[in-house]
Amino acid sequence: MIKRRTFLKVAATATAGALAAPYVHAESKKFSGITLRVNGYGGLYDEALKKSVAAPLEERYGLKVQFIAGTTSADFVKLIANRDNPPYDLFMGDSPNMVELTKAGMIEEIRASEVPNVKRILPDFREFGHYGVPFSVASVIPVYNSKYIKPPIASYSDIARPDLVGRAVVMAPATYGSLLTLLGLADENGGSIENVEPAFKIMSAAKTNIVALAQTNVAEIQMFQNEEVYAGIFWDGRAHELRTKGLPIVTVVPPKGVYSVTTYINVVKGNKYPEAAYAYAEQLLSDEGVLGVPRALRYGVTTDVTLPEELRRDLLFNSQGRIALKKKVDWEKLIANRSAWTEELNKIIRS
Amino acid sequence: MRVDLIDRAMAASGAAVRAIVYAMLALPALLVIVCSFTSGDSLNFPPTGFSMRWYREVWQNELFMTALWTSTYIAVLVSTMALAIGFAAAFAINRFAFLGKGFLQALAFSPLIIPAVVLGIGLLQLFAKLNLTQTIYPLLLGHLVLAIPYVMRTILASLSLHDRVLEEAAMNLRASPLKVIRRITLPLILPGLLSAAIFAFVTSFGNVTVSAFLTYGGHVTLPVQIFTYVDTSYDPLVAAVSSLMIVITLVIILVIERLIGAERVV
Amino acid sequence: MEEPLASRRVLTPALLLAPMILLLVLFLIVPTFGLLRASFLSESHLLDGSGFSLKQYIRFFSDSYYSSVLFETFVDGIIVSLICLGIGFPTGYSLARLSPPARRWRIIIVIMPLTLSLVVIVFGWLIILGRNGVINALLLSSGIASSPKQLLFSRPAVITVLVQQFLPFMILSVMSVVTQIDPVLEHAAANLRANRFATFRKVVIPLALPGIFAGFNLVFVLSISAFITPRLIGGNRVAMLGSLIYERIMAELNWPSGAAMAFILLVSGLGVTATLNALAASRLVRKGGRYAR
Repeated sequence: MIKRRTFLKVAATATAGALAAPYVHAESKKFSGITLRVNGYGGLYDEALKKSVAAPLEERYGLKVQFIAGTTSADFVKLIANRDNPPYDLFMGDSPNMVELTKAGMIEEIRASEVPNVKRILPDFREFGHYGVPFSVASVIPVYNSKYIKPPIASYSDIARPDLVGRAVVMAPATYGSLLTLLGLADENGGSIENVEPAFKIMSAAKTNIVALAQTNVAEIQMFQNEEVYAGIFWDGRAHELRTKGLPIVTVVPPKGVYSVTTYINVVKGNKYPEAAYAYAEQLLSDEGVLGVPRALRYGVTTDVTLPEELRRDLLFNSQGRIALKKKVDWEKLIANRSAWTEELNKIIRS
Repeated sequence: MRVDLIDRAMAASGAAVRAIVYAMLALPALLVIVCSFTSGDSLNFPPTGFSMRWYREVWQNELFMTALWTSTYIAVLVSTMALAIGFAAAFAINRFAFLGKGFLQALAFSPLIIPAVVLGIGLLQLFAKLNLTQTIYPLLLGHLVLAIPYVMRTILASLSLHDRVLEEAAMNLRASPLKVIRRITLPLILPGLLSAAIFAFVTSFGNVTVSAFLTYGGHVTLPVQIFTYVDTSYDPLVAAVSSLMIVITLVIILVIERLIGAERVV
Repeated sequence: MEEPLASRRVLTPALLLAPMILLLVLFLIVPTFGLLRASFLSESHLLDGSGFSLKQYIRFFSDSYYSSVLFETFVDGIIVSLICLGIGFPTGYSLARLSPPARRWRIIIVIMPLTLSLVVIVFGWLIILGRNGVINALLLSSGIASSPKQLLFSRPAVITVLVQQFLPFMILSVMSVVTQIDPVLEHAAANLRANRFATFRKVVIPLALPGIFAGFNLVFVLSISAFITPRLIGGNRVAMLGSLIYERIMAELNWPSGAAMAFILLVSGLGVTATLNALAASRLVRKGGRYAR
């Protein structure tokens, strides 16, 4: 096994070297010998980033990037516990994680002087001042299987529609997808982040509809795939994934607004190679880098990049009008309310 | 007549229960193995077509292969160490009279009832203070702690059952205590030791919840790798990796049995 | 070269026990106390801090929701342990009485589920219990049901999967003690014209008790601290304290609160096991007394 790995490495380096040969002399591989450690999201997500961000960096600068798979919350705990000797140089996190990251003082501010491509970020996507570089956006939206659900679902609140009895799914409180769902429901029914009571009313009304709370994205995918459920609230990228598996899943754009999280890359304080880390962020925001995740998973982009036709067709935020639907969220408040909301939701759903 | 009837009823119901038990235990694993040979892109039952495609993918996936190696050597280290520590302690508890035995037994079993998440975070906090998080020790010691109760339970139960007459006879013949343990006690409780070793191995090999906090650097154990992998994608790769895990465990079990079985003859 | 007996009696067990005590004190007790300390913090998501507050405990006990979940968790734990005992004992017993070659493959079937990642086991169960699953197909084709039944995301489903997961522990516990019961005892009983049931009740079961207790306790504690199965198979419709703790710590990053709930589970779990064991033991003693007379 080890032999085979070594062989692969040698082979890979040799091939990369051969391919990059013309560059070698020009750029002199300024980061060769450096390996950046990033917390991975796992699976196809990391694969996409490797292809669109890590591989070009290695080719150009000799910079290696290692994705360490883990769950974001466990990785965050590891990061906090090891302030003096951070286990990651770069840390990926979604908007809710950013609240904790900035509060813990674990990440560096990033400005256009260090990462010029920061200028390309669209106005509303940088939610935490100079902290974090947003590179992707995922939205929580209603979806349904058009083979079984005839009158189309039109809003978050339709999850309580009587014809969905025993056929609907929402995300579990452990994922912040359910918190965004609550915000969407509150918003559509006269509530707000200050007053989510209307959302809980809808959830109570939908209780007989909701078969289960999906603990993971994969669990929810399976429920749709096995036709265990016909409708639910899910991530936009995942709805696309279901379509690629041949299911007639329709994505609904809620008219009163869409709730989304933005995914950021952060430079961890006290890391040894800030220059290399900035180079990663720069590449991530370049056309090639920022299209990596949408190409693989159809999550949205955060920069002014021109979308290729096949992406324009599939992405939720594919026009100015659509982007205008993206709701601003007070993440700090969301985190502060998380515990109480989770408790309430658990009480409602428990049979 | 009555005796016969009851005997037969018991035999029949026993056979039925056993059939259900084996079916229930084997079914999920079998389904996973069957699904791992699919030629399609998604994990479905019944699988579409037959191919070794996903095994090739695993073989080429450096992340999974490295994780597999990490898991295996940690599990082997853990089961060896747990067996030594556990046998010593169980022997002391069972064969000597002293105060506080009940307390010690409770101590030995306490890792079981502490929710894994709590142990994971507690250990992480401790090793962070010791500045050792980026070494193999957290994982090794964490798994060792988890394995102790299984090992202790099994060895204690074996020790408390087997007859001490032989040991006493040997002692009377002035055999040294070590010799008595090696030649008489150990062979007698061999089935117990074997299952203790297997318990320890699988505890370490399969653990996700504690490992998730303790994996260091790029060295991730296989279950953690699978756990994070399936959070974003669920293709037959997972079934193929799991099938590999099954095969490895089978091999380890058979090897342990062979080794101990052979020694026993000598 | 005999040492004085008295000193050997103290020294030897102390030396033998030292590694285990050291290991558990340093890497179990110390970190656990670190978290126990954290459970008395009032601020969330902080592991270190000063101050002392009962806030987390008050939150738990002032809301009947949590105590009812705790109670249900214990009920589920006992149900799972009883089922495991009921079907695991005959299996473990028969395993012990088989010849080693016949035993080998059966043991492997028993151990296999332990090695599988839980996520994968859950996938297996989705295939079995799903709306288009194996069981529903059987029900439909045999005419017992006219439309597919919702089997997943219910308490029976969670209990079934927990039983499957922890049954191996019971079987192996029983097996390892029964192998050491001399079959001669059973033959003797049979020769005395005791039927199989009587032999079991009066000979096998009393002798196998250490294994039964070991298995029962093991399955019980494993079931009450389970969280992956209730989450994935129960889909939050089945509440167990383990999954609430997991959520509190992993999703909300509220370690003090999660730690407090964990300690409540720990202490009450120990209480329940101790009570059950004491009850069982006292019954046995009384029974034993009766037989002696």
